Amino acid sequence: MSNYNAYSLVYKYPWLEGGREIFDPTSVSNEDEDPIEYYNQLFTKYFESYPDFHDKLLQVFSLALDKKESGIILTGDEINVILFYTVKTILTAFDNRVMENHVSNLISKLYHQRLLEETEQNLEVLCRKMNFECHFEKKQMQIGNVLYPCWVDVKNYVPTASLLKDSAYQLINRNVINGRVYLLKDNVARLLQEVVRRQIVPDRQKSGGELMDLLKKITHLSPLIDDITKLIEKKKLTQTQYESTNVYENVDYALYPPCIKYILNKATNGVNLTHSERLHIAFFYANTNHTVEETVDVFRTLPDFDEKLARYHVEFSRGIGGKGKKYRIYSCAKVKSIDMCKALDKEYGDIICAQGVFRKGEVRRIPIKTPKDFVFWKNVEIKRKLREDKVQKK
Amino acid sequence: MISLKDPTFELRKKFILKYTELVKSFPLIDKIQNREFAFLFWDKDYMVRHRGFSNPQLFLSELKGVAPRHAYLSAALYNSPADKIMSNKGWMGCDFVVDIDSDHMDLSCQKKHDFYICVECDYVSKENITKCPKCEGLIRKQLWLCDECLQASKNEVIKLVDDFLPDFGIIKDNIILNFSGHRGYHIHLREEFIRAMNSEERRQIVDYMTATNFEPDDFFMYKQNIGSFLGSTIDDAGWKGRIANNFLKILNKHDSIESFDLEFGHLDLDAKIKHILFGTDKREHIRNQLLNKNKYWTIRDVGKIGWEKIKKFLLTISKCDIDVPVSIDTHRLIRVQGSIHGKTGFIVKPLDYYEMINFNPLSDPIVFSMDQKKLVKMEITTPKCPEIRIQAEYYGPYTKGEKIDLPEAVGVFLACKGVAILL
Repeated sequence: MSNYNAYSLVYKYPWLEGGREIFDPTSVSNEDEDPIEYYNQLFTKYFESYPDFHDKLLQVFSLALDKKESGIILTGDEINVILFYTVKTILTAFDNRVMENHVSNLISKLYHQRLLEETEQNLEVLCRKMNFECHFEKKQMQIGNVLYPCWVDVKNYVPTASLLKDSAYQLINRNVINGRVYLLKDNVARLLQEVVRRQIVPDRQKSGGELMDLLKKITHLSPLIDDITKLIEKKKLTQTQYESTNVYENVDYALYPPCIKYILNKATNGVNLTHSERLHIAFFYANTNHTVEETVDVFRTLPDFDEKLARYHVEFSRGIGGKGKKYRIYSCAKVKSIDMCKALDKEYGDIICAQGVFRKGEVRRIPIKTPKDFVFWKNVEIKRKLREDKVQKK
Repeated sequence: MISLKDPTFELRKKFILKYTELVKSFPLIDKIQNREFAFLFWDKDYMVRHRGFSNPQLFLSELKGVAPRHAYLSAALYNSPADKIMSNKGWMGCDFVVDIDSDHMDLSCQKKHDFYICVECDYVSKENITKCPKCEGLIRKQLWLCDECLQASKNEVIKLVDDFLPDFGIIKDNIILNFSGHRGYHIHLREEFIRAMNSEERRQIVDYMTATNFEPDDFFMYKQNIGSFLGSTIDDAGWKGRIANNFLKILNKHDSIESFDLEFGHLDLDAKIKHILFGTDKREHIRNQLLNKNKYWTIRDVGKIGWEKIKKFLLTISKCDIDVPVSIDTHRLIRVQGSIHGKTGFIVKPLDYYEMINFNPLSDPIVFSMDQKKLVKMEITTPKCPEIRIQAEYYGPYTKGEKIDLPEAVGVFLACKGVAILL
């Protein structure tokens, strides 16, 4: 039997049923009630009851925008619930998807850690409450040399696993027997982490603008909104600007091929990458003189980011450790074969990828062979345009 | 209005008469009021969509009246199936449909009976061409069917139902199956949990069936340091177990290259590997490793490249050949069970799994007459008309301009295939 009761559970995991009622017990119930007045009273109560509430909220956003994975200690009391819903409300108001992903990644990772520390019985109760029916058995299932403590019906597993892009969680790569998917406790925590992440992401149907106007009128929230706005501005100002001297040295974003730009955009927005996409980025960065740090930073925004693991793989791709083999950049043929080519994409596509380039002595375009060729030819194209602009100005 | 000069005029008349008979015992359509219907007529080259029927009588009356060349319904269920705007239809769920068609398979018989014919100059090619090399005219694909390709489709259905569906907890008694009326079968899964799945979730099921994104991180790789392939054991779960079991089955079944080639000759397995596995005593050696549940597979003379080839072969024979977009699409239109297929004149026949095992797709779905006393006059209009078996008789091959008397079902088949006209 679980040692949980519903009361303690919702304080630890605020998205569960009853959590919102703890945060906002009555909500604005009738049309005559002034929402500004109502929320002013509500937040005044919270900010006065918890003097460090402002700092704690700001810390969440600051750490998230710094792509940090830890630094906040989750509690299991009322403030934990209030913090969760206040963050969610602020995210809705800002309507900034990049920030949403950073914050949801940070918070879901914190909860992942908490989930890992739970007993199997508690995890089973929690799963049930999160509509992810997971069955921990006394007699574990031995498959190969591994003992699996729990299983999930295929029908419950697929909707949750499809939220993850990690191929290890795809049904085909799991142990499936007679409609059951056998899992380790870590696997369950990882799957729940993704569910938690989706709980933090705001409801897109709500209008961020209207809510922002409202929040700015709330006495205690207004300064916090200003502080977060400053944080966002600061992040924009401190983004690395690459200066290119050698064409392959610290390649400028403008020279990135469409396939790389597309993946970087996904990563920046905190969308999980497939295994092949991760490799493509790692190999491309390794072959265009980016540092290990720069490469690891790309993966930092991903929901399943694990710094130790990411660093190991990035170093491995560069021949640091392992057998010392340095991997080459994927060829365009390989990129096409794994359906990652974006040559014809409306947003990212480029004629260099789609039709090739005019090499010396050639009358027609010759296809490029690797994304590295793109970097070279894009550089040629940009320089040529700059020269032409200069001539025109003269 | 259809023109009397229309080459399909006679064919359409036959469909009208046949539908008048068929509607009397038409198979029941599940949740008919929530399905969108669509028809392809004889004189229009576009599909008439967004039709809805509140009850079977209305649908059958329409079917009998218009006798379409092809009749489809949505795998999806809608609140307002007849609404012309997809987003207004109110999606309620969608059957998971698996389309197994020999057209998607790589079969040796296709090289014998499929042609590409120029509509301008009758140039015939076995190669897949898009423009006539002689006159640059348009090319018509003429795909045929034979016992071999129809059996290949059936084998895939058996593989899907016996090997894959149990993994999802679906039993064969719960599936809805039908002969497509042409080269394959449709399997409809209607469990509530499957109906509720979105495309992304369906893709996981489809990937499982087709071995897509199979990226095991701890097996199925050659270990250079020990000179062995890290395989799996027959007791393993999911795909791991499937691969080991299929490997063992093949080694048990085939004790010579000739025997192996009879079943898998069309697959491109390296001759050296075939010799090692089926022509030497190493077959027994690897068989014993599999029977002893040894996950490390070692064969002398087979290194990394050799094992990669065996791996590719095992994946090819273990996966299911299905039409992926059909299963992923949550708004798919699929042929109506009980309707007549406009490319063959065969009925889209509902079957249960056990009926399907003994189903003869060139006999059992025939609805037009095979009466030798009621022959129809036909003229062959294409330079290549390959042989076809209908019931126990073989008809053809024929040449262009040939005028022949054939049983109605054979005549309708050739006319539907576009290689002849009913006179």
